[in-house]
Amino acid sequence: MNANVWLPVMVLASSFIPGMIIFMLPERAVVLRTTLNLGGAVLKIILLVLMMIGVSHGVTYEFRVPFVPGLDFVLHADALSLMFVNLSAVLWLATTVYAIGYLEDSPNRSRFFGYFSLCVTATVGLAMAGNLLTFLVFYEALTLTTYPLVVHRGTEAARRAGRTYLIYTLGGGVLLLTGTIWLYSLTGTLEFVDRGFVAGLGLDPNVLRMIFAVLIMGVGVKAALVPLHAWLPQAMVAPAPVSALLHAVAVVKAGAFGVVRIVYDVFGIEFAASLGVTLPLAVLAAVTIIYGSTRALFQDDLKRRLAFSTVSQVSYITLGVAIAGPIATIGGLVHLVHQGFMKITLFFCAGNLAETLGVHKVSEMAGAGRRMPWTMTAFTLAAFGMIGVPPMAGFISKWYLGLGGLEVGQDWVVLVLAGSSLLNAAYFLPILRTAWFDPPPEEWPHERDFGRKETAWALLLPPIATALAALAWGLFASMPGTPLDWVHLIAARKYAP
Amino acid sequence: MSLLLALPMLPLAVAAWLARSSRTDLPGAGWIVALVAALPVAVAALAAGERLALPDLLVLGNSALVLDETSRAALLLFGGLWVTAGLLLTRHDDVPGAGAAALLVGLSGAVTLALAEGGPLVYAGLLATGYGLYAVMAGEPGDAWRRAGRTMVVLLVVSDLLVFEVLLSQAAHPAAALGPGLLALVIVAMALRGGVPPAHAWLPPALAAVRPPTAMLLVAVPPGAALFGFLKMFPGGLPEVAAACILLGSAGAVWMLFAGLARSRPRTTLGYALGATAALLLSAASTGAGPGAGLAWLGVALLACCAALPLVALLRPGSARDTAIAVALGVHGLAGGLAALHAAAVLPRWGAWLAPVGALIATLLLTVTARRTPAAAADGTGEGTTRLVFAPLALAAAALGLAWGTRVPGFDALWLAPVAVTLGLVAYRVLPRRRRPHVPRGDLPGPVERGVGVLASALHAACMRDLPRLRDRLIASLLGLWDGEAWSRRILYLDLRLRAWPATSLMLLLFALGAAWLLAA
Repeated sequence: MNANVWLPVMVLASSFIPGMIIFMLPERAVVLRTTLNLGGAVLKIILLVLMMIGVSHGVTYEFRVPFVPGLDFVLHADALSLMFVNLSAVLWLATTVYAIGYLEDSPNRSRFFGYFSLCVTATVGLAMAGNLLTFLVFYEALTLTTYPLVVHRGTEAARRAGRTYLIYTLGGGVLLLTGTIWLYSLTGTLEFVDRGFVAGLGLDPNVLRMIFAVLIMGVGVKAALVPLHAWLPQAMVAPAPVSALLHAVAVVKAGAFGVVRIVYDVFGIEFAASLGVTLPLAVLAAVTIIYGSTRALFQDDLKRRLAFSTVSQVSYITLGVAIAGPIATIGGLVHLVHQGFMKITLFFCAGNLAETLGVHKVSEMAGAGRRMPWTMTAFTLAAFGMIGVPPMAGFISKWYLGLGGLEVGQDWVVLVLAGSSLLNAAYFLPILRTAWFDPPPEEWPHERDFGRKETAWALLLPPIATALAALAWGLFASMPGTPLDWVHLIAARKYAP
Repeated sequence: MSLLLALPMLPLAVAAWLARSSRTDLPGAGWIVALVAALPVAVAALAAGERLALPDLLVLGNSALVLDETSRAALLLFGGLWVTAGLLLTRHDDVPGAGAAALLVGLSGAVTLALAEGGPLVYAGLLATGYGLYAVMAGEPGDAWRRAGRTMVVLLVVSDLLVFEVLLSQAAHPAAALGPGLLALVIVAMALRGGVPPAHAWLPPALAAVRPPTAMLLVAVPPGAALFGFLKMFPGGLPEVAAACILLGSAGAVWMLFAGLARSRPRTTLGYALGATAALLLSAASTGAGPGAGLAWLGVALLACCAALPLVALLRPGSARDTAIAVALGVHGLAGGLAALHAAAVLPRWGAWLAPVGALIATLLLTVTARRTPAAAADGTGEGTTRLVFAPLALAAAALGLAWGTRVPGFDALWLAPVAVTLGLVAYRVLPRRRRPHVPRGDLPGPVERGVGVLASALHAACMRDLPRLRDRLIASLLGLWDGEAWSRRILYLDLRLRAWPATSLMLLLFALGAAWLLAA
């Protein structure tokens, strides 16, 4: 075995080993814990950069060991998985820095950061899974490692949200397991293949349609497809870094990534389209997009509004995949990255407002821009990105999605995008107006003093960095090395003749 | 770094610097805005033409920043207005940092739009200008602007989405011409953005609710953005729908005429005058930019004149105020005449009068607005006094001169200004007194207006008294024609006269001589 075989394992280990060590650290070992957290995150990024260079030059990174009779445990780094792993790794670094500042005086930090690292490990494993079984293992591991984070505060509301989260996600896992076993019993393989492994086996189309539905429902729970989305707004009781992790890095993205894997690498996009399952999936995504945006419109709680926004925005990915065309695929996949950066910025900012001013509701945000200009600037950039305003990254996603819809004659997609943008504007612009132009209150609900700074550096730098990244991904979208450039590579491979 | 790239970036950088200030007011913010806005003006006036390709920006790879004739016109309009707004703000010492930052964000968007080439970049400029302007409005004190602001932002978002749809379709089918549906979307999008009727509803209340600097920007920027956005995306216009646009624009102008005259507040009337002006501009734009960016310069002249009107209220009664009003109305009328000619070129002969009617209404309403605008109080109370109104007027006059450089006007364009202004004065004079707020006497149009008043009184008397009397006499005479006794009296009278008249003998002699001559022949 050479280094190419071990690199995927090392990427996993770069967060797994620090996570296990952090569990054993006492609360007061702040420096060591921080070093392990940040060291692991930086090491993971370095390893990923090496792998990206290799993959772009055609090198294959695969780790394979026997798992159950006839099936292997496979970690495989292709262009698609590296995109997701990179997103997770970069945002993990940002979230770690943020969480260090956010949980500065909180109890149970070792437990929190331990599960935090394991959660990222599960996400990375899920991204690099080379077959459906490995995917399933990490999918369930993700559920189990994020549950302690959701209930971290230990309040009754947190426990209730945790129960709901567990019921939904384990239910999704059971469906995924059912679909996986059913598929294996028919095909004898679960290996992800670029054009899918189901096509050409001569299986009953109706059975395949049912398997497709079961698998999509399985991953649709985490992807928050309506009506399987109810856990997501409830999980908002979790601390802001966990919300950021759920919405931008790990859980919902894992669900959306699962949809991508099932459509492209299990069924194959052409075969799925021939089965007639892509159009219903696209319609379901469209319904979710409009439904999530509409619900967000009526939320006064900032994090709940952002949660319903996630329900809507993540379905752009599903929509792009289900439209079944190369350009729409680019739009959907690149939104996986773009939405991650924009949404994590919004959650960081919401966390800053809560931690610094005690502001949790939109109606309490009057004048927040004057008190926290940097935070609100980052929030503004991300909100504009969500609306799809150029030159933010969200514009690029919507551009490709709309173009993809027109390319394959699905003009209704443009109407869905337009309606969603209108609703996004309707629920984000009032926040911006209130924050920037309304007079601030005499006294904030729960203000903390940070001297001349608006808040702690650890809380301020991550949202600024991610907001600037969201701006750069949009402004310089056509440059080499951007997410869009990488996604072009993926689409070229998925649609190669 | 290229100067073209610095133009939109500099306001953003300064805005970020201002936004981070937690102070509620910044005394020097007006000077900063004016200084930053002076750069685009200087570049437009002095720099040589340039094109900076930005293939890696956004999508499609065809984005560029260009300094050409149209860009110069847009830069001068937007830069000039922002300089004036900044200078106006220097008179206030309670400018919020966020308000100044919003002004600069709007300026950055407007400059981007002015320089942009390539659909997505133009779209970005349109968006930034629109949202920036909304932010400027949101910085106004009080709540009076909110309802209008909400309407404005909804129209902006809908317009953005329509533009997005058009750009997508163009990108998806680059070789295909725009179909009727997309053509309609383009027109609707620009009408929504530019305050063209029926999307004008937010303008009158918004203008009435904000302070002069914001009012000035609200007057000129939305229609300016719509005009330049359209010219940049469709420099050749949309000849397929030009006639329909002019027809709809003229109908909108007629609507604006009745609605504008029915109001009494000057800023509200200005909103309707602007609606008519915007309708004229977009009608003309649908026929294309014209040679040498003629329409762009005309747009600058028209919009700068409209933008000057809110500032007229900051002048005391006297020759300066009279001159400002005269220049504003004169330039608007002349530019409107040229713009109408530009638009009418694509119309059939039977419809060629439509565009001049729209222009005439726009100048007429602006005249009424000017007459309704009260002068600044002599004791300096209220908004105070300033002569900054001459900044947009100088810009308007210069733009008109440049437009004349591309096309020397004849009588067909020049007649419109005096007629429209006169009709405006007449309209103002004959309106009910409650729609004529008190205006101090002694200003330039005063004697003209009084003369018009005398004429109107005479006309009124003629219509109400003299003409009916004449009519009654005529009717009595006509009825008398059918009276038998009267006829017999008349015949008898004629017979007596003929027999008594010496000429009768002469006639008989002539008859006899004639008969003899015929017999001899």
